[in-house]
Formats: sequence, C-alpha cells, structure tokens
Amino acid sequence: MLQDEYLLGVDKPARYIGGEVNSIVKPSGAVAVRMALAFPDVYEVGMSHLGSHILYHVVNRIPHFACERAFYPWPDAAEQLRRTGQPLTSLESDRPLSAFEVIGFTLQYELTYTTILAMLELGGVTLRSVQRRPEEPLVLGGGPGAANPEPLAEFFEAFALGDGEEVLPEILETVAASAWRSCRTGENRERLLRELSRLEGVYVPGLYRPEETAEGLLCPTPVDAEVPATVRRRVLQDLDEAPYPTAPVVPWLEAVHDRAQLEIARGCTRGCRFCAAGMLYRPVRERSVETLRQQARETIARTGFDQISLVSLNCPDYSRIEELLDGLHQDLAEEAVAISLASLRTDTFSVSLAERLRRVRKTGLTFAPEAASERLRRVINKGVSEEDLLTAVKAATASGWRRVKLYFMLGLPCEEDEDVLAIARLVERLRQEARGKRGLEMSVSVSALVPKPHTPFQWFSGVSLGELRRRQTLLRQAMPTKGVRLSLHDPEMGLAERLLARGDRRLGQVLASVYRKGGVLEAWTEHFSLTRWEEACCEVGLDLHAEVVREWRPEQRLPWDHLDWGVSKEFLQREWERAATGEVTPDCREGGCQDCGLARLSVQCSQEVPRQPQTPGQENQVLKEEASA
Amino acid sequence: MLSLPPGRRPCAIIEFAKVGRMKYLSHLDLARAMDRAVRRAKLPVAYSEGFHPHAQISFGPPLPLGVEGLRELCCLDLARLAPPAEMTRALSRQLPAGLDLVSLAITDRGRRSPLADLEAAGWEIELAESGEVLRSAVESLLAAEELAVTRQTKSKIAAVNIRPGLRELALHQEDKTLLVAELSLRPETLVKPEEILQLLAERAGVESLTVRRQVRTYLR
Repeated sequence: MLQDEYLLGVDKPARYIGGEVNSIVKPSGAVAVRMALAFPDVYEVGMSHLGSHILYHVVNRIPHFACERAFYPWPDAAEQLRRTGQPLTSLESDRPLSAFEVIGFTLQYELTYTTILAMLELGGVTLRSVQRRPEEPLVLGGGPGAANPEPLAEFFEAFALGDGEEVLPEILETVAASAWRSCRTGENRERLLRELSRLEGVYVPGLYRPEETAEGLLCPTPVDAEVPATVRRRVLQDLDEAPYPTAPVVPWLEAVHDRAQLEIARGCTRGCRFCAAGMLYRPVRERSVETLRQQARETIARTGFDQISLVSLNCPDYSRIEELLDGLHQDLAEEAVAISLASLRTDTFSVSLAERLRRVRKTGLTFAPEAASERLRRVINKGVSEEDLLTAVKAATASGWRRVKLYFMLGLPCEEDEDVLAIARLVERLRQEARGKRGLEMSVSVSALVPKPHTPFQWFSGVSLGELRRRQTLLRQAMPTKGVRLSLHDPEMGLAERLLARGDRRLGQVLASVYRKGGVLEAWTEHFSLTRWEEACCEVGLDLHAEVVREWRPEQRLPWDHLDWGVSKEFLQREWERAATGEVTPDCREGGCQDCGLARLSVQCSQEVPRQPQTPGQENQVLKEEASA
Repeated sequence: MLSLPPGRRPCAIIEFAKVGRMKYLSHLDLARAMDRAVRRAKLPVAYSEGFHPHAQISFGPPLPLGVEGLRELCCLDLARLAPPAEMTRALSRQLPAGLDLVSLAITDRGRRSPLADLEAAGWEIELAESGEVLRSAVESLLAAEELAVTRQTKSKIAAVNIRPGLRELALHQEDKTLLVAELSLRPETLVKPEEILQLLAERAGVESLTVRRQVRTYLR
C-alpha cells in the first residue's frame, strides 16, 4: 500500500495499514490458491459487511487457501497511488491484486460497479476478461448483484450464484487442481473456465453468446451443448452446521456497523413484491439457539466488541426469538455487552418481546410500511393496516423509544397522487397520536423503487425522472414540518441503479465509459453524476431516460432468464398479475405452499420451519432498529 | 497481594508503546482498540453506571496522528483487585502488535484521575536538516528569557510566552539530526513540539523544518 511518507498526507490512514486483531496472514509456501476478497467501497463500509466476514472465514479455515481483503481507497489515497505508480494491494500481505490467483468481488449495490473497474485497474489487472493475459487472476463475483450480472459480464470470468459457503471453496479447489495454477497458458485457462462452468451455481459469462431479441435486448445463450443452458443458484441447506466467523477481523476505524454480528436466520418468505432479498434468499433457514449462544460468547471473547447485533431479514420471525434473547442476556450481561436487533416486524412486537427489548439499546426504531395507503400496500404485498402501524409506534414510544424512522417508497406500480399524499397524512397522524410522554422525533426516508430482476416487479416499466421529481415535490409540500425530518433519496442515483439492475451486456461499455469519465465511489452522493451516465449511454446509442421506462412484457425473454435463483418465472408472473389487482399472497409459513418454485431445487422449504403463533389482526409491518450512530 | 484501605478504588496504570504503523491510529481508534483488548483479556475492569455501561478507561494527552509514543499512559478503573502479573500476561496477549505493554501497576484510584496531573512529556524529533545554523538556533532558544508564540483560541489570537514550559532542549547531530526536548504539559505552561520547531525554523532562517520521525518518549 502507501509508503509512510504518503500515509501521513491522507485522511484516516488507519484504513490502509492492516494488521488488525483476527486478520490472517498466511506464509507463501503453504498456500495453493490465494484469493483477494475485494469490496468495491472504502474500508469502513466494507468492514461492516457480514457476508465478507463469512467468506473470509470460509476460505481461510482451509489450510491451503488464503483469503486477503482489499478495499477501494478514498480519492486522496487513490490519487497518491496513481501519482506514484503504486498498485492497489491487499491489507494482509500487501500484494497487488494482479498477483492473486483469484479476485472475488462482492456485488452488493449497482452503484459500486464502476468502483470494481477502478479496483481492477488500480490493482494492475486488465479490465476486460477477453483481453486478460493467461497469467492474470480470475475475476469472480457474487452476492445479490449476481441476480443479473450481465452489465458486468465482460469484466468477470465467473459469477457465483447463491450462498457462498460451499461453492466458493469448490471454486478454489477447482483452481487448485487445475493445470493453469502451475502452468498459466491460455489453453489451461480456457479449460479451467470450462471446469468452473460445470460446478453448480457457477456462471461463466464468456461461455454464453449474447443473442439480440426482438425487443433489442441481449440475452445469453450457451456457446455449445457442454455449457449448461441454465445456472442454478446454490442453496446452503443446513445453516446451523455452516461455518461462521466467531473471530471476525476487528476494524481499526469505526465501521458503519461497529459491533459483532450474529446471523440468526437467512431468507424470508413474506413475499413483498419489490424485495429482491425476499425472493433471492429463500427458503428461511435458522440457526439453533444453542449454536447462536455459543457463537455469541465466542465472538465477544475473541473480538472484545461491546455490542452484538442479531442479523436476519426479520429478527422476530426467528422461531425462538424470546428464548434466544433471554439466553444472550444471561450470557453477556456481566460483560456489559449490549444486544441490538437489526430488524423487527411489528406483528411479532408482542408484550413479552417488548419487555425483553427494554434492555437493548434504544437508538431508534425503523418501521418500513413502504406505502402509506392500504390499497398500495396490497399491491406490493405488504398488507398492513394503518391501525397496526399506530399500535406499533405507540407500543414503541411507551417502551421508551423516542426516535422513529419510517421508510416509504415512491414510484411504485399503480401509485397515484392520492397514495403520495397518504404518506404525509399517515406521518401527521402518527405524530399526533403516538408521541408518548417524552415526545416523538420522526424521520421519514423516502426512496424510489428500483425494480429488481427475479422479483414480480421485474416487469414494471417504471416512472420517469420528471414524474418522480413531481411526486417528490408533492410529498414535500404536503409533509408536516414540525418534528419531522424528511429525506428524499436522490432520484438521479436511482435512475442509474434502475438502468443497471435490469441491464444487459450493452451496459458493459457504458460502465467502462462512466469509469473513464471519472465515475468511482458513486454510491457516495458527492461522487455521483448523472451526466456521465447520460453521456455514456448516448455513446452506445442508448437513451438512459427511455431505457429506464421501457416496456417489459411477461412473455418476452429476459437477459437473466438463464439464471435460476429458485423462484420460478411462473410464480413471479402470477405475483405480478396479483399486484395489479391488489391481491395479497400469504407467507407460505402461514398460508401454505404458494408454489414459488423453490421446491424444484430439492431444498427443504421454509414451511417446515416452525413459527411462533401469531397474534391475529396484526399484520405485516417491518420494525427495525436503526443502525446506531 | 496488594491491599488498599477500605472504600478506596483500585486502578491499573498501564504504560504502553504506540509504535510502527500504530502511529496511524487516531486517539479515538486507540481508545477503541484498548477497550477491546481489555475486554478480550477479561481484566476486572469497572463499568460506568447507567443504562449503557462502558469500561472505565482514561488516557493521557492524545498523541497527534503520525507520532509514535514509547511510554504512553492509560488508567483502568478496576472493579476488584487482581494480581498485576496475571493482568499483565493477559493484556499483553491481547494487544495488537505495535501497541505493546510496557508496565502495569496497581494503585489507589483517588478522586482525581492519576493522569490528571502530568507534568511534562519527553520528545525525540528526527529532522532532515542539520548543521551549525540549527545548533545556534537551539542555543539561542535556550538563552532567551522569553519565547513568544501566537496561539489562536476560539475568539482571539494571543501571544504566549512558552519559555517557562521549555524544560530541556538538546540537539544531537551524529549520523542523523535528533532534537531532544522535555516540554511542559501543565495547562499554564503548556508547550507544543510544533511551537519549538517553528521557533527553531525562524531562528535558522528557513520556512519550516522537515520532521522525519517524531516520538514522545515519556510522560511524567
């Protein structure tokens, strides 16, 4: 990384020094395959990402593999590297990215994609995979972005679909056993890529040829019969048995989530129609209370964190949540370790849970009704009544919470002005009726819908930038100002997200061009510029603004049709039709099998996971604890 | 085993080095790293009262970013007594490389923090410059009755005489140029190393001096 004389000249130099508690440096001799786990954002963001901690552990626990971390430097340090001609290196062994056998990028968010290109180039790796020399690293990607990795296809050798715990070691074993590892010829590299494509859950984009459809979209087709026509996502069956990092690297700097994290469950079957996580991570799998208590004790003992956060898509959906909380309190109280919950749903916000939560840090609660009118909530399959939300906020203020955050979305299908105004009315009603004895601070965060692949809304054409702005203005004018902080997400950033989420291979050139124009760390508002995206689109003959409102028809072929994430296209289409008529689809753990298609993957379905009895009348709502500042 | 009068609170005075790449840790990062090491070592630390208890650890004056320290100080309030040798062993094992335990001693906590009354800090500053001009600049500082520097507070710029707080100053010029100083830490006579460097630069007739390495060698 940077030499001493440069480190003093950059902001927060501790980002670049490595050597943290629990970081793992393996000597060269013992290692067959060395992988750089690359997070396309800065240290504090990447070090908060639980998935990266899991993969770091999963790889490093295997003696003959080494996994090292790499992050993108803040622009001041990136500039120093470029100016002095030094490459981007890993924190563990200070190797340039180009000296690894494998570079694995996590694909968490579309606006980090240009940063991936910046990391490759700064790491000394050729940008496009077809131009890479045979000895250069294999570039892999995984995470939710692999639901549709087509915009990134030309920069990657392979994508891993689904849970990484098993497939990543399999990929590395294949690399270790390949002729390419010791003899880096083009032929050996080709052969290795063929072998990788035979692993379940591995998509090698170079073995698929883009075919142009009647709608002008590029849809990949296998180059020959040996290449699988569809790639099926990997599903980890037994979460309880899966390796878990109880000695995660402890960051030097305050990370965005600066605490121990305990993943209690994976997956959600509530079926919100906009939600990618709810579709991509099925079925619901839980760890046992015994395992979790053991993991919590170990993690605290080996990190020294003073706070542990329970993580899952909906914490109270965990079948033994009260027993778990009691056990953790018992185990950790003496060491003054605070317990927090990453997400809570109000329908399980029972009196006894509220009692237990009295003892956790009350940094603020987040409710995510997403839409304010009952009608629109049925469209997105978040059937919840206003009364329930009111009850939940009242319960929270009565239990001592004074700050409540509300999440809403604009630009939903079937949304009318009436629905936009309903947000302001709902906020005003909560403010009036649920303020509690000590007052209530409300912050209202309103984002714009990004229709995601493999969700029922993947066919939603979307709302134009002008129309979004109009709805935002409508909302801003109607929103009460007293005691309410309104934050509206940048609709321009949303536009680029929408372009990439459902993009095809034509966007590879767009990404490269945006990067050439200086687009990097674009997830940071101050580094984003829509003009760069508009120009880059123009260069390849695309109109960005037309592209994000294009028509998608259920019968047409989609650029991600060859990737099978478990939920079937038929199910998604059924859900899309039910959205239009406002029909609610129940959670399969309550309402029986909804035939989502997951059973085809021969996995144990969520239905078999027992749930706590529900209080009738209380419906879907999400209540999350805000990340403590 | 150490014994304290009844009703008195014990604390551990920890001397530690902050060297090598650890000089890039800010004071806040250092406090967090120490807190976590103390927790991992399971030292019998006292926690604050209240709803969100935290370990009671206090530090000596913060080191500026990029400056190393050989004998930095922190004070750990203890909930109960434990053998210092055991605590030393446990904490040494948990401190990251570059944050190295020098000593650990148990004392009576008293009302005021034992770190509240520090007198002075020792400094070693390696300079890129050398030569006779620098030597006479040092001599001229030592000979002066009064050394005026300007300090900016929130509202005003004031001239301050820092001569009373300049306790020792020496220049060693062998294979490298080393400025050795002891500067006051008391609020009324506080002197900052950069103020000495600025005065030296003025007397040597240069814009500024180039610091190659800066080490705080002790606090007392």
